[in-house]
Amino acid sequence: MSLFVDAFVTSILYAAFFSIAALGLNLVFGVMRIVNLAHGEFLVMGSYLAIALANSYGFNPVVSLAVVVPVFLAIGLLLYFPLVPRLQKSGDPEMSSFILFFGVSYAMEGLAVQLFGVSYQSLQYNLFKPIHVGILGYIIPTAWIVTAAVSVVALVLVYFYLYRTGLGLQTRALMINRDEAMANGVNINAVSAIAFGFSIALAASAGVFSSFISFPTSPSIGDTFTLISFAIIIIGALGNPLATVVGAVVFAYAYGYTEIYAPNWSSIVPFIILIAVILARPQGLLGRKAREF
Amino acid sequence: MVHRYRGDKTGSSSTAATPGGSGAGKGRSARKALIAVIVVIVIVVAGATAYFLTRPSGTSQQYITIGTLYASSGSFALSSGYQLAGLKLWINQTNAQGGLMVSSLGKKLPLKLIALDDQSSTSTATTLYTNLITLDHVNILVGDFGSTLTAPAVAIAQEHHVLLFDPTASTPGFFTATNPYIVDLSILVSSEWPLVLAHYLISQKTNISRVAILYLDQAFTTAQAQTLDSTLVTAGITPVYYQSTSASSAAEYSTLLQSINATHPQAVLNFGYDTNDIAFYSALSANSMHFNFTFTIYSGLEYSLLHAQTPAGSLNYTYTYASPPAVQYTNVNLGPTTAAFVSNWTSTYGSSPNFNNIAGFNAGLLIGKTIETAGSLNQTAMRQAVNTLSGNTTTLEGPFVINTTTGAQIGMPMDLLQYQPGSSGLKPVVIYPTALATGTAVYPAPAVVVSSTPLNSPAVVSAESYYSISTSALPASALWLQYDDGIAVSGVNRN
Amino acid sequence: MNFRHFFLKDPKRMWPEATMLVAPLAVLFILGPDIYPNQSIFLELAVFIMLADALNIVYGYTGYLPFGFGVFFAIGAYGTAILISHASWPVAPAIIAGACFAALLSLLFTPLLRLSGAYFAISSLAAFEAFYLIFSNTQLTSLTGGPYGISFTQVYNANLDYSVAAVLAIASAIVVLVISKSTFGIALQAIREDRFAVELAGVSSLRYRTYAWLISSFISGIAGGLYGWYQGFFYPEAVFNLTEFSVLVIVFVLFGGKGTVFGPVVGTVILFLVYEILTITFSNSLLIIFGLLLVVLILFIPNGIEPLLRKAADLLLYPDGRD
Repeated sequence: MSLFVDAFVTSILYAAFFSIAALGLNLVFGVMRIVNLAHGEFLVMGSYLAIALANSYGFNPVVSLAVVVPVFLAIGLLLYFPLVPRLQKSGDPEMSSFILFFGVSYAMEGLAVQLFGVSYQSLQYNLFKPIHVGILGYIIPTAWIVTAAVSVVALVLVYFYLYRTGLGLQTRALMINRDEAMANGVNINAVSAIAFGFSIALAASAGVFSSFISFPTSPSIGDTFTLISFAIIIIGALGNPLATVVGAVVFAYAYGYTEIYAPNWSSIVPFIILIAVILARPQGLLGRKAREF
Repeated sequence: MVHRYRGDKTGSSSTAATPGGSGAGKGRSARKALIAVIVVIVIVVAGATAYFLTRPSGTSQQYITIGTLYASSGSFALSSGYQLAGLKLWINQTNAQGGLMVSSLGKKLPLKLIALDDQSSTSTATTLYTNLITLDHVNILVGDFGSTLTAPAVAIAQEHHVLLFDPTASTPGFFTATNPYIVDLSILVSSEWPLVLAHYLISQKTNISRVAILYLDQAFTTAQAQTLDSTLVTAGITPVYYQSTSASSAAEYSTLLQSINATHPQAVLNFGYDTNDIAFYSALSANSMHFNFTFTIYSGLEYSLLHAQTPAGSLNYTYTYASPPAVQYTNVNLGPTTAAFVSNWTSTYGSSPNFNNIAGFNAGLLIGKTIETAGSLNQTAMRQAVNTLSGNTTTLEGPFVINTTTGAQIGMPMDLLQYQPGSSGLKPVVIYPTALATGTAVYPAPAVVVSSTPLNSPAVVSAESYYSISTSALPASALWLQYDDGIAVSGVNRN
Repeated sequence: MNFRHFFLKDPKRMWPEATMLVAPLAVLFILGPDIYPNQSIFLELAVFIMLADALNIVYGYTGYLPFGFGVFFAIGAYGTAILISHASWPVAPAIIAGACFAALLSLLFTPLLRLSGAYFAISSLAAFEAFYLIFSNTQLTSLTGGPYGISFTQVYNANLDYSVAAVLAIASAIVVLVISKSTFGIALQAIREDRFAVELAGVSSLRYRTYAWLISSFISGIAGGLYGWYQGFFYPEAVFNLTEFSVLVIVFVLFGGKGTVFGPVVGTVILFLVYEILTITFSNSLLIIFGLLLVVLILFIPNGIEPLLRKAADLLLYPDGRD
């Protein structure tokens, strides 16, 4: 019983983390219909910045967010204008984006190797005091609680942006139908640029906490994050940012429980679920129709 | 304007109705295009051939070329870089002394290193190994770190009859009686690693009867877990938990540890790579778990990395393989002693060396001795020379013993050590085999008090203290394979 | 259905293009290893040409991008290796059987062909990962070698392998040419452009897509078998390599020009050789240079270089603009 409950608690924290890790990828796909294969690399870069801030200035990761978010928002906006509008003009932006961002991810991994070297780095749990907290008799590191809490706050903020602001309304309009949104006066470039910036900033924010709960940070770990994020947003619903949470929960629990009952098959389970979901409900658990016939 | 040569036409489906009326015109223009293409090809090929044929080729041996691969990025970059750094140090030291004596040429030749970057990709490695052999015509071919990146070289080296000097690839499958073109210089065959550990656990049967084994699903770690499991089972200890995993995140290890904990093990053995071990210790700390006996591989192979990246106090009283630099050999007859090497390295690079640095350097030492013994750069002669070194050579990494038929390493033992906290930091203490022990195990491991010191002043100071083993204590033949418990090693092919 | 009609509209009209495909490739494969004596580069080139042609059939002609396309390559390699090492099959039937396994697997995936673009791309990626994890699983060690990898060096024959690969690479280019000229290929393109119109005309678009999918996976399987044979021993991650045998192939096809006969071949030859040169000479900054190169290519020549080459050839042959 205790085993079951413990996996339940760990999985919910894991799900919260992967919600914000994958959220940005879905936002970009929903708004721009492009696939950002460099998503995981932005996450890794955010992680490196947080580690540098902790090592040089002793910054607590929550404090680091105050630096990481604006920096990566700016990077996202700066990258948007030379890359995305030009891409949108090509015949098949969705497929062209694969190759474009594959190139970006290659270049970013190379850059990370040059800047930070290849060794593993991680933040230490003792940046938070006390190191552990007991909840209902379970001992959990404070860092994991903070990770989950920040993820939830980020999700709430994204929700408010999308559903309570004018720009958010335009963003949702763009996600539903690009042409109609344009006809109704939505400023596509402005809305898309902001969504892209947010997406990069979200990935980097997840990166700030990634070395606590997931993998130690290294230049080559970006692909892993991209792949997991993909699985999550498909299971949820492609193009619906908030469905990402559902995808993350399914992913985390599938993983968590097979890890207990069949550890040597645990890593395959999320992909089996992904294929099953796609065949049974290709639009994702919360999505609109996607099957062609 | 018609798209002349394309039967298809992107952006329109009207091609389906293209009439075939202009066949004659198409044929004529196609012929012209064909002629143009052929002319261009002929010019390019003629020019390139002329260039390559007139290129000066090395006639007299000016230096000894050593070709190797390394990974500047990807999953093997870290370990590969360590190994190359060790090899480079040996090359620099040898060149500072004027190079190596090659008696058939009657002179000392300097060494020239050609190191190509495979980015941790096996297909790139295939290309580059071939390049080293067929274009650079290297005299000495040295493998990249580990089995994955060495695998592509095995067949190529055999095909071209070039001896592959293998520093750290320990997969038993590479070494067969039919392939004389490979020799393992610096690492015990991976299936043999856990033998000392297994025999220690067997000797402690009364204290430790519940053993949990968790291993990563990679060749290096699976081989060790299987040897350990079968040896223990033979001795009547059936592990209470024996599972493979592909986990690498702290949260995944956290869940795995919960199921391990539920089996109430006395000993927990985790076979993984460095990143897995970091996640394993983070998860241990995250759950405030504690076991009487905890074993990991990389806390020994890459102590500094593990120490820096795991929660403070994680490694206290844990066990790992005793290998250099934690074990130091004094009675060496080739190259510096381990202690001398460590101090030289530390003064040169400002940090202490790890196992893979030593493995790279050790490979260099043995290559040098091989060339001097063979007296030529003939690949077959060098293979013969390696065999004559086996069993009577001790380096900073320990006794060098190979299976002279297959080239597999059976020396360079992996003993068992425990990190015991002392006044100056963690002290590595060899606890088994008893003949080599420098202390006794603290069992059960005292619970680690979780420290809450800030990041930059960890509770445990990283100063590593060393001790020495005199190899003169070892009998003449490979007797570290004799265990105190007198249990014969079964099921493992030693020849 | 008239079988001949189904495949060939007019065989006589194909010879000029066939010659233009075969002659340069034959010269490249015969003289290449003499000029730059590294056979493995040219073997990989042959393998990549096969993969690019295979991908072109499904992606270029049906518009479906299977992101985890490399799974067929890996199945081909494993099928070949398992039949040789466990059942001692001769190499040729083993490779063909390996490719048949790949084709069978593609049949298993046909329900995915009902999905629209991005879903198809990513579910094929999930299938790739799932099969990688199955083949590397420790519980299947007795069959697949699991994490220990699989060895069949007893049949290793680098020169024969290279010759076969070179011939088959050229053959795969011819297959694409034949498809492009056939009613089948034209139907595929019609489906790509307007599926509903084709369905209204009474053609089952799903069936045509399935044929393309089968041919494509079979060619990939052959490529995998030949690559595995050249390695003699490989670990799961050596053939289940998403970056190389899926993503790079996609990049090559897009660079050359998808949906064309010459594009994938030209794209592969140029970009693969650029990649190899970068690997050997600028290895430290390979990732950055190649990454930026891709960004520039896709932004400035999104339709690939084939249309540009065609224009250049027109200008060269007809400087006065005469047709």
